[in-house]
Amino acid sequence: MSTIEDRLSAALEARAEQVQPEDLRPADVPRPASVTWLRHPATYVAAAAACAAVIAAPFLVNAGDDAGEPSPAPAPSVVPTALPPQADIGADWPSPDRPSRIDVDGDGTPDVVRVRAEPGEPLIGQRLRVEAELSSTGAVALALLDSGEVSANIFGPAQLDGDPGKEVLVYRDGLSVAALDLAGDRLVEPDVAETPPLLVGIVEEPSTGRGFESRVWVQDGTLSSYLSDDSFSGGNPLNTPMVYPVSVTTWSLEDGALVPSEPLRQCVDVLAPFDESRPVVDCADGAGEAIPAVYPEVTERAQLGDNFEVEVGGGSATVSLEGTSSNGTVEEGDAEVVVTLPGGATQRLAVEPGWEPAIYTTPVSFPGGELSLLVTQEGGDSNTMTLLTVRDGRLMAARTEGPVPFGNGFIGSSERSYQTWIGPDGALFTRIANEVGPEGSLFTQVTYRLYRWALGGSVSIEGAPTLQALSEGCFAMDDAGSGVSITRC
Amino acid sequence: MAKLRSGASRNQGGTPTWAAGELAELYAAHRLSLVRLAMLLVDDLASAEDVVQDAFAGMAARRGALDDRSAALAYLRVSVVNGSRSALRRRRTARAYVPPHEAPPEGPESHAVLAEEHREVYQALEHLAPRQREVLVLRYWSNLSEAEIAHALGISKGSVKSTASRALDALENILSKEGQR
Repeated sequence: MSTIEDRLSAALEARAEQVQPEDLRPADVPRPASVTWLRHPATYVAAAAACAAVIAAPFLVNAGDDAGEPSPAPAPSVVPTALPPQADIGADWPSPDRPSRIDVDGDGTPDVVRVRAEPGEPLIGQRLRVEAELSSTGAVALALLDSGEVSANIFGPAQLDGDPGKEVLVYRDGLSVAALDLAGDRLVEPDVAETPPLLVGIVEEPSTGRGFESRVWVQDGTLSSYLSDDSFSGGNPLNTPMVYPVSVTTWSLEDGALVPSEPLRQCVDVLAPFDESRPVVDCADGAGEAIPAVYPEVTERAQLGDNFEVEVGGGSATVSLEGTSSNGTVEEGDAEVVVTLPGGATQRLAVEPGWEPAIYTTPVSFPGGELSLLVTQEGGDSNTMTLLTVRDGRLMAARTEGPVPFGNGFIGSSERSYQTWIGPDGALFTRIANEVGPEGSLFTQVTYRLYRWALGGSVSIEGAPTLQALSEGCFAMDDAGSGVSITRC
Repeated sequence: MAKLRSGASRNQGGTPTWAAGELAELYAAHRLSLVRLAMLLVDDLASAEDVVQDAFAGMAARRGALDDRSAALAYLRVSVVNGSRSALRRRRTARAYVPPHEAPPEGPESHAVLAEEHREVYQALEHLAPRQREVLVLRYWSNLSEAEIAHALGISKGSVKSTASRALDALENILSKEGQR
């Protein structure tokens, strides 16, 4: 084993050895179940109580009405006659979590709600039984659900309709959140539209290997979810940027269906203090309808043999582009970017073979980011761009992947161009033409999809971060004159 | 391998059930090691004991399919891992993003009394994602094979290998950074 494995084994052993038999609570061996549920006396008691409640309910309601007194508790809803009797499946399945207390029947008293998982392979099995012991009737209302990939648990509760009873929200790995509503003597999962997803996890983007981030939360009894506006690379977790826009939906229960609200654009700010009951914040650009400041464009560049200074975290870093080119190109090892960080540490990174490099003297700025520099290698009808960034004192090239191209060029063999540039405040943009300009011109009266680049995380701590494109929308941009006009499509 | 329930009675439904002595035997044999496993995952003794007690309670309620000790121990181990994850989930949020492990305030059983070299490693372990931590604990403390870890976590053997590799890299990186401070 390597040193780190040895150290880890020793540390775990030492920590485990801190728990000795005398540290444990007195032994309390659980009693084995010895009979099936059909033969268990408690089942008869529960069944009898449930039957008595159903029989007695109409009389109790009438008695309350006749007396002119407010009902002590809302009566259970009338059992829909169309529903067949529900089989009592899974009463003996294990319940891995402690029960929750949620006022499902709306009588003001929390009811015991637990999730039982069907034994199987994996051991959190194929189905879940969610059951609520109703304090108003003594009956057990239950629902059977598909289980998640690994586990499930109750969160919430939520108040999704006008009934006094609360809805039970069940989180399931890889599946939609189930919002269970008490209907008669059972918990019912309402119909829910596939979009937007009501999912905690990643919604895969077809054929790109990327994913949209989806979250679900409850705030003051309101069920909300969001879906990121843009897809990100990175698997689980996604390499999300520090700040990114999402579409927030709130959900209500109407006529047996979960109904989404109109989406509201808000942002996730990873650097903001996290509030699990409200994981989104207002976006700095409001509703995203403003025209972003994309010009003037940074143009000053250093060439091979040049050096310049940039401000980094209150200090000054020196950047130089060293090496030589031959016939306007560089081969492997011909050129490198050298950055001397405040404090004197020097980092070097070779320039990829290709056209002669230049480096913009204005750094690219990312929220929470360290020093980032844009290297461009121009030639022919396209230029390759590389974003270099310092992470934990190391200079590395950010990864670029996904459907939005980085640099300047043309989409496939088409005449649709794309350009990348540094705008005001060091923001990095790419635009992709929706159509070809007049007479093939690149810069006249064309509409574009505009993207702002953000720096996402990386899968491993040492790995290079990934550039993620955040959509700004569609814009008509006219570069023909001395200025630039930009309007939304 | 000895059958755990070679003499177990069967109820009228024909499903084998636990004899009280068998469960007590399992409890006596494995409770301590399972509490230790849970504590390495959730970081406090009280939660760890709860998790293990729930695992045994689940085992007690279970019928059928566990014919030997290794299957019973595997069942308990999976229950403990799942229970620990649930305990952690209750501590964290409904987000799928997995934040660094959030340990509760240090108690009397805290790792503060660990030797310095172990404490550094253990604290670094707290910065890993829960699944990475689970894989490392099962691999380097429980000494499980990749197949056993895959079974316990409900993931593929390939995922076990890649998760372990990344987790070790991350651990080493954290430790090297700590060492530079």
